[in-house]
This record gives sequence, C-alpha cells and structure tokens, in this order.
Amino acid sequence: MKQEYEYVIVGSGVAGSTVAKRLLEHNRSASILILEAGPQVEAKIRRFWWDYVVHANGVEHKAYDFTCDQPGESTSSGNTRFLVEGSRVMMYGGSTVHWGGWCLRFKPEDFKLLSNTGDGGDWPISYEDLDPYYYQAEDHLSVCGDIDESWNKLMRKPNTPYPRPPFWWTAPDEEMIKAFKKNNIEPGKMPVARYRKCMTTGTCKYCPLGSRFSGQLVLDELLADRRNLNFKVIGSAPATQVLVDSKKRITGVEYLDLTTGETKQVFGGTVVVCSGTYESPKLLMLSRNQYWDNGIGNDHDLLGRYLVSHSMLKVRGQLDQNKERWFAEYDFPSLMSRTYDTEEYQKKNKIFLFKNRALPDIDLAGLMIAGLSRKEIDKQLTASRQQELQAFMEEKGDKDNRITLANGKNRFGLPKMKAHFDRTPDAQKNGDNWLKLMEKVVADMGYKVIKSEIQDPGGHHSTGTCRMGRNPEEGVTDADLRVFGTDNLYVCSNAVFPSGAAVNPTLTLTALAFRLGDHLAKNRP
Amino acid sequence: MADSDAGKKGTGEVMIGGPFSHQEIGASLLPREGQNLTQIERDKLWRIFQQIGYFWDDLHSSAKDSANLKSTWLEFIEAKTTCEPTYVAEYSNAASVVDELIELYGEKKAFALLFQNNGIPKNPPRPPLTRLEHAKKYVVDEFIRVNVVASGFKSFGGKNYSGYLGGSRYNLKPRVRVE
Ligand SMILES: Cc1cc2nc3c(=O)[nH]c(=O)nc-3n(C[C@H](O)[C@H](O)[C@H](O)COP(=O)(O)OP(=O)(O)OC[C@H]3O[C@@H](n4cnc5c(N)ncnc54)[C@H](O)[C@@H]3O)c2cc1C
Repeated sequence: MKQEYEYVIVGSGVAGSTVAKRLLEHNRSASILILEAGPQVEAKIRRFWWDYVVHANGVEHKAYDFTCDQPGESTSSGNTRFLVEGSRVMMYGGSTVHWGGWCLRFKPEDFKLLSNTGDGGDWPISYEDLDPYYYQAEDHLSVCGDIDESWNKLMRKPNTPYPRPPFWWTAPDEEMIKAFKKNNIEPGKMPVARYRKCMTTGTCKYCPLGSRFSGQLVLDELLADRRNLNFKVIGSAPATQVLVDSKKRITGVEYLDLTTGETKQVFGGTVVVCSGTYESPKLLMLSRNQYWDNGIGNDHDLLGRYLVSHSMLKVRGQLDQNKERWFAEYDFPSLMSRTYDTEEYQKKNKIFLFKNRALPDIDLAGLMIAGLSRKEIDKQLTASRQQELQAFMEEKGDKDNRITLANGKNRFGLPKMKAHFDRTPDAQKNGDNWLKLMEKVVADMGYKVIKSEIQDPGGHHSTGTCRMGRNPEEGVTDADLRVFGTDNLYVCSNAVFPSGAAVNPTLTLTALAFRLGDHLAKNRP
Repeated sequence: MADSDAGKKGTGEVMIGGPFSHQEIGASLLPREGQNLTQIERDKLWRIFQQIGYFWDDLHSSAKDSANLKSTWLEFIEAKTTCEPTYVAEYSNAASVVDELIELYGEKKAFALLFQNNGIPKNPPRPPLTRLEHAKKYVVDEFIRVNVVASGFKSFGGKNYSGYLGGSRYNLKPRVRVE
C-alpha cells in the first residue's frame, strides 16, 4: 500500500517536533509522519536515574550516550579539530534529550554578519522577522530568564517578561560578579529551558521528572493528544534518499527500516528535512538523481559548506582556601554576560561569557568511599577552590570549512562523515586577546590563573551547512527555508543559519520552526 | 568452598573478615537465583546505611541518624531489586558479610573497618573479586552516594547537590546558596 502523508518530516528533534506541533495547531487532522533514524528510549526511569546518581557500575556520567556519535563515525581535517563525538543525540526527541537548555536570542547584528564585517553570511531575514516567533519559542521551551539586563532592552519589547522567573545567582557567582563590575562587564542571569516542575537536582543530563525541556516530551504529548488523528512517528527509520518525479517536485522519502533491514518508501505532499546540521546536507547529497547530479539543492556546490561552531575559551583560577565551603549546586550556569556580544565586537569574533557550572567542586561521596574520615574531608573541602570563566567565541563561516560524505556506514546505516575546519589566523589572534581579558577578570577575583585555553570547536552548536540565502548562488534554502529549485522541499535545522552568533542556537531554531509551520499552513495546497 | 587469601595478593595490607568474606566469587554482579530480599536482610542493609550516617556524622536529623531518609532509601532498594540488573543477590551477600564482620570485631569496629581500613587493594585498584569487595563496591559505596545526595551534603555546607530532590522550584526560595 502506498503510504501517503501531507507532510513527511525527517528527524524528530526539536525542529521536527516544533514544525509538527505548529502544523497540528493549524489543522488537527493534518496527516504528518516523522521518520526518526534513532530508537525510542524510555525517559524518567527511576532505576536508571538512581544508577546514574550513585555511579553504579558502568552508568556513571552516562545518559543516552549510546545514541551519541562514537569514535570512528566521523573524521576531522584542517588546522583545528572539529569535535563531532558526543555533540548530538540520534534518537526519538533528538539532541535536546541531552542538552543544557541555555536559551538566548541571537542579536539584531547577527543577521547582518557579512554586511557588518565582510566575513560570514547575512540572513535573508532580519531580527524583526523572527521577533514574534522568539516569544513563542520561549514559551514553548519554558525559558526562565531576567529582563532587567541592558541587552534585553535592545531585543525585547517593553513589558515582555520571560515565561518563567530566572534562577538566582549562586554565592560563588557573586565573587565573579564583583570582578565583572571592576572590568565594566554587566552580569546577567542565564536564561535556561527549565520546565514545569524543575527541582534543580543537578542531574539535568538525566532528569527523573522530565522537568528540563526535551524533544521527547513534546512528541509524547503530540502522540497522546487524541485530536491529532493522523500524526505518526516511526523510529529506527533513517531516511536515505529524497524522492523526486521532476527537478522541482519532491514526492517522498526512502528509508531503511532498521528493525527488518528492508528499504521502504513514504510519499508526502511536502517534505521537511529536520535532521540536524550534519545529516540534513548529507541526505540532500545522497539524493542524486537524473535532475540533480550532485544532490538536491547542490547545483552551486553549497551543501555542507560554511560549517561553523563556537570555539570555547576557558580561564581557570585557583584560590588557596575555601572557608565558605562552596561546591557546585546547579547543573547549569546561572551567571553570564553579553557585554562583548555586541555589534561593536563583531569584527573581533565577539564572545558570550559565562561561569563554569561545575566549579567549585568536590566529590564528597568519592572521598568517603576512598575511606577518608570526616575531619580529612572537611580539611580538603576548605583547603582550596577553583572557579572558571568560559566563553563561546563566534567563528565566521568560511566556504572551505565543510562536511562531506565519507566511506562506510554508521550504526544507523547512514554514511560516515568528514568535517574540515580551519580556524583563521585572525580568529586565533582575537581568541588570544579575549583570553587576556578573561585572565584579568579571574585575577581580579583574587585567584591565580592556572589554565587559559581556546578549545577546538565542539559540534554541539554547529550551523551553516545548508544556509539560507537570497538566491541559489548564495544559499541552499530561501528565506522560507525552501530548497532553491524545488517546490516542496524544506530544511529546518541549525544548518540553515548563515551565521552562528556567539550564543547557543536552539531558541533561534525553535523560532524558525514555528515560522516555518505557519508558512506551510498558510500555503497549504 | 576454599578459603582464599585474595586480600593479601599484591598488597601489604590484609583484607578484613573471615573465610566467608574472603571467598572469591568473580567480579561480575552476582546473579539472582530466584530468591527475594527478606525483611531480615532489609533490616541488616538499613543498618549499613544508618552506620554510614553515624560514621561521617553528616545527617543532622534530631536523632542524628538516617531515619528521615528511610523512604528515599527504601525507594532506592525497591528500584535496585525490582528492575534488571537486580541487586538481590548482592544485597543478600552484603548482609552476610556484615554478619561475619560483626561476629569477628563487634559492631562499631566492624563498620569502621569496613568503611575505612578494609584492606581491599587500592593501588592498583582491581575488580571486586571477594565477597567483601562485592559488599563494599555494590552496596557500601552506592549507599554512601545515596547518603550524600539525599541530604548528607548539607552538613558540608550546601543547600543543593547533584541528585538532591528538594521540592518545587516555584516556592520562590533559592534552592542554592546565594549571597
Ligand atoms: C550535550 C549538548 C548540549 C547542548 N546544549 C545546548 C544548550 O544549552 N542550548 C542550546 O541552544 N543548544 C544546545 N545544544 C544543541 C541543541 O541540542 C541543538 O541545537 C538542537 O537539538 C538541534 O535540534 P534539531 O531538531 O535540529 O536536531 P536534533 O535535535 O539533533 O534532531 C535531529 C534528529 O534527526 C534524526 N536524523 C538525522 N538524520 C536522519 C535521517 N537521515 N533520517 C531520519 N532521522 C534522522 C536524528 O536521529 C535526530 O534525532 C546542545 C547539544 C548537546 C549535544
């Protein structure tokens, strides 16, 4: 039997589920299929959570890790290693099952990176186009934040608080705040997607309550809602090819049923690729046919190019006492600053500052297990502490930084991948300068700087492999996220971002997904 | 089954306990052989948990013991004994190991030795081979973590800790130390 749907969505992460949610809000009987490469893994299992908390044999620090990229599934070339391992989750619900939940808007200047600096890309839409959708995204993700900070005045309309109040600064934050102020850095409270009944247990990687936003919860709710008569998710079903019957007309998707090994096809009026920054371009590259020699949307050799992610800057300091007995109490940072995340610093690879969430720290139970007495533990606890100032540095898109298909298959039957990334000498120099500034802040806290480094870009925030453009020479998709040269194929992913800004991408992605849902509903054939 | 001097291998220290504790049983989790945890065993396990609180003096309930955490601890035991891989056989083993230690050293000393000077090889560490090592790794060490995350950390100064479930976020009181 021919499987036909109005919409076939490839990927069940926050992008896919948000598009589906919005389409269903417009029309409860819309027929929608989500194909998901990864398995469905149960959440909120008390036993797993306890094993996680007590570091039971083999479970310590692990949650869903088997669905993350494993060593050997991708390679990296270029002067800077691009870290793919552990940077996404391939399962029902996608990477937000594993994410930190930091939710920051891009700033107006982020949409004009090329115009402002001569590097990277401009978006074919502006901040104002996305503004109404940012509010909806904040609501959907349940963002806790503060509106008093000066940068909010540039980005938010008056009297538009976040849906939830912010998390308080912790006592160790205050020490860094004083040093911030000394250096004219404005402190802010980190907006995070903590949800419903968050009890701040500090095990956010595996929440026993489902209190941190996760794509899984949205899918569960959409599936459980009996009004959504024609909504379906198929797991363990990696899409391997987008099907066409002419250059412009997409007819559906071919996928592998991992449970039987069979290749199957589904047909859809509209296909939306929501497979993340790596798999979205890979799927289009794989979709070679008589009309598209190099893959769909790749007539100008743009698929996979302009790969960007944040480079993380870290400056750690040590103090030779901890009489306050501080240790980490949240599993997310509460202190941040966007003082250097402005148009003025865009040319200098602007940065977004925040305090390391895990410091100061001590493994009290570990010391007890090792047999230390109460007195010895108290002595260790009060002897010293470390704090760390961290930052994401904006990297600007370069055409030669790209992902390509590699030989061999990963666990999901999808081709392995190669990432190439060169950091420009300019970015390296700017990074070194930012480190000096950060070292000064740490020194002003009265700490001795013991580590100062620029890390390799982590793939968690990778963007730019199917970027939006004003025309097919500039981008893979247009301003509505439709793949140039097609009538009914869309990409909704961080892949479409022409610039990665200095902050985390998912709030902006969620805003784009709502916008796409509205666009598709409005233009229903 | 043969007594073993596993505790002496490669270390200067002698492992505490008698023949039962020293018996080698392989490193992997003991399989459940159809048995369920008895109330007697549960009581003995609870005693281990209580002794952790006394030994490190970290649970400041009025009685200075672990009583306030009993429901948390019971939920932990329930999760560990009703889901795979089940710890029933490990719990049964630990109860018997502690019985032997108490018989040999008396209650107070038995727990002090078990927690601190047990003679289990540390340098280099090795997988748990004997009954004593199983009891330490699969039971005592995990109970210590439950003790700390369930409230014990508070006596070290904190208000929140990784794993601590402390009530609704919307009570407007910060769940962590603030200035
Ligand atoms: C550890 C970690 C921490 C993070 N922290 C933050 C943070 O604090 N703030 C923030 O903004 N962002 C954060 N991120 C990034 C965030 O998770 C991503 O931006 C977001 O999840 C992207 O959503 P997505 O739906 O595009 O992709 P994903 O959530 O990755 O979902 C894509 C889905 O598509 C599926 N798929 C891929 N290929 C195919 C195929 N061919 N066929 C079928 N299905 C396919 C995948 O299996 C996956 O489930 C973090 C990421 C990680 C890994």
